[in-house]
Amino acid sequence: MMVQPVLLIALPLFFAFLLPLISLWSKKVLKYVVMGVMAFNAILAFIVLIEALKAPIFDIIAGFQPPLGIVLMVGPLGAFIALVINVAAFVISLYSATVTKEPLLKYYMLSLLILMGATGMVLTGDLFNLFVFLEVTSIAAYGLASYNKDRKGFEGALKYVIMGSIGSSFVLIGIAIIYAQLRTLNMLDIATRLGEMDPYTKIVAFVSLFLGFGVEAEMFPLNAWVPETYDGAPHPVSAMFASMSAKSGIFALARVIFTIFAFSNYLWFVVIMGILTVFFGEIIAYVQKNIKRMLAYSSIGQMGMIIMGLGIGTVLSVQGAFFQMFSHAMGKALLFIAAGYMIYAAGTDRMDKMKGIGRNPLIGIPLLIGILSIMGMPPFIGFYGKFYILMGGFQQGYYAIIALFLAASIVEVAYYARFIKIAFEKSERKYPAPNIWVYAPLIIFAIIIVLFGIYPKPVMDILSHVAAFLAGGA
Amino acid sequence: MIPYYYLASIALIVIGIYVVIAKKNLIKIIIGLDLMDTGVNLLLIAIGYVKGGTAPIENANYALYVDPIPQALVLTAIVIGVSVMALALSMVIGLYKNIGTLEIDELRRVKE
Repeated sequence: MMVQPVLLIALPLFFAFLLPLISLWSKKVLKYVVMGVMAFNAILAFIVLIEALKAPIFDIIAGFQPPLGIVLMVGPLGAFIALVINVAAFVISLYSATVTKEPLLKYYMLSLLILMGATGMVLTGDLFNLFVFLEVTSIAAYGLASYNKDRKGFEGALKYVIMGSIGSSFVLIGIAIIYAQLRTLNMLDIATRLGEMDPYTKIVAFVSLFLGFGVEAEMFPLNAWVPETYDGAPHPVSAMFASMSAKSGIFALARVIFTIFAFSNYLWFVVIMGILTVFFGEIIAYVQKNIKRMLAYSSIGQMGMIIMGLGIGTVLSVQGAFFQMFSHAMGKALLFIAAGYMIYAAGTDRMDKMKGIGRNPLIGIPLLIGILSIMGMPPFIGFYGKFYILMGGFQQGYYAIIALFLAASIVEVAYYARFIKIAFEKSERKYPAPNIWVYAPLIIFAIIIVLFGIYPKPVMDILSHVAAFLAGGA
Repeated sequence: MIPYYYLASIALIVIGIYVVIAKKNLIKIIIGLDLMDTGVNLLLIAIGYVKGGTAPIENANYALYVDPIPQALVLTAIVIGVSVMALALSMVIGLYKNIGTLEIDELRRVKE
């Protein structure tokens, strides 16, 4: 069965603007409609992935032939990340059922729009279209970040708006420079004609695009918004940021580095940014007392590891980076959902007031699986990402980078171990039992983490296409 | 020689970044963002400019047209910019209702 990839974008967009009509009929069905749409979208993404594994799909929009028209360029890796984003979106939409604050209609519309934007960023093959989807994602994210309408929410969202719109201005500058030189916006067309560009202008364009997408990808000097935005947003929204908008931002970064510019000798720049991001994230996460802030800083650290993997630039390390995107999307979404329950159950976001909260097995077992996976323990998916990034570094002989990477990982293990100790400590305190919308998503994520941890072959098969991606393919 | 419209757009972008970094008032920061947006839009329009060209509409009297694609891009970028500004300003209103100040320094002080 052939599914056109554009459906993955059109379906959430269509339903996002159909929701107001549905809400006239009944407000209670909204959440089930959103869950259904997201589940269906995930199935479509799976079919597209199977198609894309045979040969990259080029979906021409509105009948204009590329390079003039807009084209969706869906390679195996793009389809894989799209599937990851869609599955994460579906499972998080289950947890969204616990959001009770009005206006729920707008919450669900924005959550469909952020899904549409993130999927579009991953699938598109046109540089300006990438910018438009980036803006759709980030405007939806701004709205969701301030959804609570309290002080924390507005502060975080405002920081995000300021950083995000500076970033998107830089993306636009990069696009303008490329268009001025090459008169084209199609990614593959740019890649083939890159030699015509003035070498210095090329570097300026690369740096503009890299910094622009770096905001969304939580790269070091541009990530001041991350902790406050994650902390101020509603709990399901924090999970969405970690597993959807950040993932699409980092995939756009990979597109810029490999598909458009095909750089190999400037990758040291990317590695250094990555390692700075890792250290910044992990070390500040260590001193945090607020659980969501700790997870947000840890998220920065993990994104730094992915940037590093992309920067090392060998087949193995880029495979590791993509595996890390997968494991981080699943693991961090799980941890944010668990954190949301804990804050609700303990009545505070301070970790030292959460003694014994993990002793309920419905929460404790998925929590433990998620934490071990994020740490990088072997039977879970988090292991493979870190392992392949390190192996890629070894192959190239970057021993200093590996040493720094491992040092940061030890800090990560330290603060997560401290958190495990608090969560599983004996305590007299009774916590309210989680309802099904809390533990169902936790268990689904935990099953995915364990399943692909024990049997990673399907993912590795998909990631074997990395070599073609690095060579400038779709 | 670099044409003056490039210089103007770069000046607008740099002034915008300076305002965002240096000013302490949230409304001024948002004005800075808007300046930066305008600079980028001017840069895009300038790229498509052809000397002596006319609007890109089919017309027998003219042979030379400016590049239509940057104009389409700028239209999109303006719409996006306006919506981001509106959202940012509405957030500022929300923050003001919660705290009663727009100065970043005071915002930090209220936190303690």
